[in-house]
Amino acid sequence: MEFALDEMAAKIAKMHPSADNMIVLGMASRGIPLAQKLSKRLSEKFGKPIETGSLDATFYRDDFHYRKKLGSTEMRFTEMPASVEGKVVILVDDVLYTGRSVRAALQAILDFGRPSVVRLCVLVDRGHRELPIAPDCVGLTVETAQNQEVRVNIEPIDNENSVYLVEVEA
Amino acid sequence: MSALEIKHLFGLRGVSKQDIRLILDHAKQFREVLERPVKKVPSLRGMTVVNLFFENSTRTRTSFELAEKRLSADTVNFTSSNSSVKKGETLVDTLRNIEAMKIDIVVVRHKGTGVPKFLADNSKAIIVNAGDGAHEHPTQALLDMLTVEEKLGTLEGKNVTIVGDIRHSRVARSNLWGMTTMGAHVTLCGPSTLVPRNTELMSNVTWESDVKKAVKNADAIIALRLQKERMDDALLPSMREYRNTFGITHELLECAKDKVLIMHPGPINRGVELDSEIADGENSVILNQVTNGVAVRMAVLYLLAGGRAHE
Repeated sequence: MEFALDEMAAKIAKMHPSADNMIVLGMASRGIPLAQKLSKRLSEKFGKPIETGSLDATFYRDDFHYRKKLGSTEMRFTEMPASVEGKVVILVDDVLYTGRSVRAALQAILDFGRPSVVRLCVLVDRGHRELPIAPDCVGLTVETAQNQEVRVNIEPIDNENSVYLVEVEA
Repeated sequence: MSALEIKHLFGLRGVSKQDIRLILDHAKQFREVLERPVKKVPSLRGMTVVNLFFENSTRTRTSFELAEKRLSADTVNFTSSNSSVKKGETLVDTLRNIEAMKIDIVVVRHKGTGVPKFLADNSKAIIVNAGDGAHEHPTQALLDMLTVEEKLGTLEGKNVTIVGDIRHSRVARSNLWGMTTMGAHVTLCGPSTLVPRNTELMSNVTWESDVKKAVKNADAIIALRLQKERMDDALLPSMREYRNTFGITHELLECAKDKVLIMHPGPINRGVELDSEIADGENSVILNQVTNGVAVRMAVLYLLAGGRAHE
């Protein structure tokens, strides 16, 4: 995971060689600690602090009427450290799957203002996209089946930093 | 954590701690949404809500309407002052007509106790009680609870004192069910002619007829609006006497904790149940209550609508 984050930071620094105007947003819930880790690396690279926040797009989801369970509200909050107007927004999440969360997040970001660019960084891309959404930086690409689940654990939400591919009952 | 156990919101009596927790936690998230530049989320897009108000209310209806609009629902208002009710239409006929218009959620206020339940039994819509008679006003209590949590961190172990016409107050009733469920201790205080007769209700709370003793250990004081009709019913001698005995005044607060929260469901009779200097003073959280009202109503509508989806 550490290596993947190093790679991502390097790639972003190459795409956007300045820390000015950059804002890193973690998607609730496990994108938040990932965003913090990524932002730490970026600020070391650029030698200055980077605006970091979080985004919970639950209320923007299109599957609200189909979900059996409403998510826990723990670790789900939106904290915009600064305006996104004209900024380079780096959106961070743990797993990219159907692309629906990213679509919801994009809509949420656009309600806050008009960024100049939005980049998407994910730790794991597991395929099965349902919308035309593509990541800019990927830590790990895995081939998965629909009945599998990619389970990412990240401190401090979980007790360890790890990625598991698990079979789930259909 | 799953969806709400309740399918409609009739009142807070019998609603589980888990459900109340879920509503208050979601309300906190919606409060953040209300701070955003675009104070609107698309959650209830495509759903239609009717605000069915058989009793006059500007503020509760406005608060519900704003909550609905901020969730992107379509809203229509139906008020008795300019409606077919005046022409003699029965409740069931009104409901059938609304139902024929394919409404998803009905927010209802009515002078009759139990009207929300009656509507739910006769309709497919989700029903939210916005006040029924002297029975319950659950969203008001939820916003009061959210305000106490916002200011004091928790309701657990806190002392909440409600002063006023307890017997006729749906606000007091909903608050005492909800707050005791969440672990707060509720003290009621008011004129002896206005003590509730319901023994189950009274078994959960402390009754204190001396207002000075009632506020002494309070972390929050809720002053209830005094209805002028009570004078006509000869339950109270005069406004002035009420103010002198039960009004929240500067002198009374000298008997209370320094940081005690002053709350009021509005609209305030200034100089009767609450003095102006207190209503506008630093202990007052009355305007926080109003903001929290929108957030709490968004949470209730959002969660009830989400629960319906997978039936």
